[in-house]
Amino acid sequence: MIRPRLALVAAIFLCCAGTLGAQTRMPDWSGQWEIVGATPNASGGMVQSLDEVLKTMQWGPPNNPGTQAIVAEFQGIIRKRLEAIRSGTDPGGASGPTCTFGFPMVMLDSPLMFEALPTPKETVLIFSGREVRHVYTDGRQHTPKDELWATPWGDSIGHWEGQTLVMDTIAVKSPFSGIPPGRIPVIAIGARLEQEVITFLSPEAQFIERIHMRDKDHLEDQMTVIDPASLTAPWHLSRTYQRVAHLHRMVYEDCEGEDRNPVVNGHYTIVPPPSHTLGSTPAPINAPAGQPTAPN
Amino acid sequence: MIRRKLTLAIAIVAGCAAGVAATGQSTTLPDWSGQWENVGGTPDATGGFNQSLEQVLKEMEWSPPLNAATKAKVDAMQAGERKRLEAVARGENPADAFTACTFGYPGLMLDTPLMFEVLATPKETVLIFSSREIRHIYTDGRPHTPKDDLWATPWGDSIGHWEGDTLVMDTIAVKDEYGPPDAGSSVSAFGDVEGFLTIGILTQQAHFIERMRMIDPGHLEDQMTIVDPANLTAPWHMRRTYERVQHVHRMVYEDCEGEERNPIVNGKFTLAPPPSETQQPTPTPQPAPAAKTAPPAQSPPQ
Repeated sequence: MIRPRLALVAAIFLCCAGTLGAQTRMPDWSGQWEIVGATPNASGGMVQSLDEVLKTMQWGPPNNPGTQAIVAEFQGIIRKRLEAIRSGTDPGGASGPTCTFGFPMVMLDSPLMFEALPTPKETVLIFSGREVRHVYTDGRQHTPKDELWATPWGDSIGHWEGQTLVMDTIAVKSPFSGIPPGRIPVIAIGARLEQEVITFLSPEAQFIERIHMRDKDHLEDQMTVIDPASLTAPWHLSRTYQRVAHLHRMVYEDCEGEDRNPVVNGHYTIVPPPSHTLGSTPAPINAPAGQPTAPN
Repeated sequence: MIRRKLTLAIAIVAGCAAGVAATGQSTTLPDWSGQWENVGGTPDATGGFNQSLEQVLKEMEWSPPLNAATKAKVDAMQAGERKRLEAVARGENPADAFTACTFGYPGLMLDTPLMFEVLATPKETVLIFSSREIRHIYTDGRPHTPKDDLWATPWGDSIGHWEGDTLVMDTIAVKDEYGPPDAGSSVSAFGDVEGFLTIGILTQQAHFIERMRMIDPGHLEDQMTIVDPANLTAPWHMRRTYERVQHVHRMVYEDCEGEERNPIVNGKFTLAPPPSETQQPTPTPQPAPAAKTAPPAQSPPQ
């Protein structure tokens, strides 16, 4: 059983101009952000059911026939594995908890929270699984091919169009095992370990994103995936991230099984790890006082 | 044999100066963009250090004002560590060998072969190390996390403020990643590939104050003061300098699996893909690089 660990994020930003010579005005995206529709629950899974995730989030990839065949095959494998887990049988091939979702999953469907820090030359998105996207906005090109290799977060460059950060990412490699070799999975994740494979992209996939603040409590990312090897047309997706109101600093998951961020009455709370010694209260904190714990 | 795995950082930093558009404020911050590495902590091509342990002990500032009880503990630890070094020199493999990508604080600032980026924004500065260790320094005027919310971590709880172009950082609640729950942090000197010597041990109540600034376009400086009355007879002052890494222009994280990604060729860092990679994405799924305690293989989350 795989239990993604939650964490807590915190964000901030801004920027500067210093030796750049010109004053650069960067947006203030400070705070902690989480994907709308991917709320983590107290057991490390998702609050929303898979049906809800499929219905409320935008998916619908224009898979070509070859990709669709692979998707169908792996969906069958996943279904059997989940059935085995639920029946108490070890399905084999399953691994322990993971903190690494990789791109594009960190943007599309993960319970992780993140900070975003724009500066004139680089913007970083730091996720509570200690995954970091580095988006270089200093005018450079993508890393030359003879220096480039695929990673879980890819090679990203970007530029600002007003208050919108336009990101361009290539060279992505999935951190997941047990998937078609070289493919980049996009998976919808719901409560009770439910998953549905949406597509498997090729290693040549290119991702263009436009992220901006829609209002003071929401960021929006419009992503276009260009991958002629697996898609019949560019694939457009949109995700919204909401501000997490009750957490004010980054707390990283330790990837060892504890849940640090139970949701109490609809709000994230922070729980120290079992080894906690400094504070006097090992119980959840930041929860509204006097209210019962929400069900998982 | 202890082999702390190296990484390669690549930095970029940030820097800059400018202003906080949305809030209407204007804040000028220094430009610390680039990649930085600890002077004296230069990695070699095998995952260790270029400098010998003796060089590191001689050339870096150490000398903790340990109290008698702490000094006795450190002396005992050093005796064991020196025996272990002798065993390694004889070609033996110590039984307590381990591999780790997590240095934790304050080791990250004092003696590692890691490189790092600094991104400074008005409300927060982050230091991102090539081991995917990240220090978050909140400069939005907040106090430290209240005690009932606070627990020790390998990177501590940090707040800070700017005094001109100097970032003043204040860190508490630091715990060694590999120590018992009530342990504090430790300070070790590293040299060669496998040499290390414990210099000091600190409690979880240790308080760290740092003043970081750019002393010239190619160097950052960090002046650290450690206050820990339980283990020190006086504040412990240290200074470290970080030099700009010229030939690496992006962050490349260590995968903690043994590959050396940054061989030094003719005295300069270079980038090398892991053995499992080619310039085109590989047809073979690989374990995720990363998380300090990540499992050897991963499946889709949840």
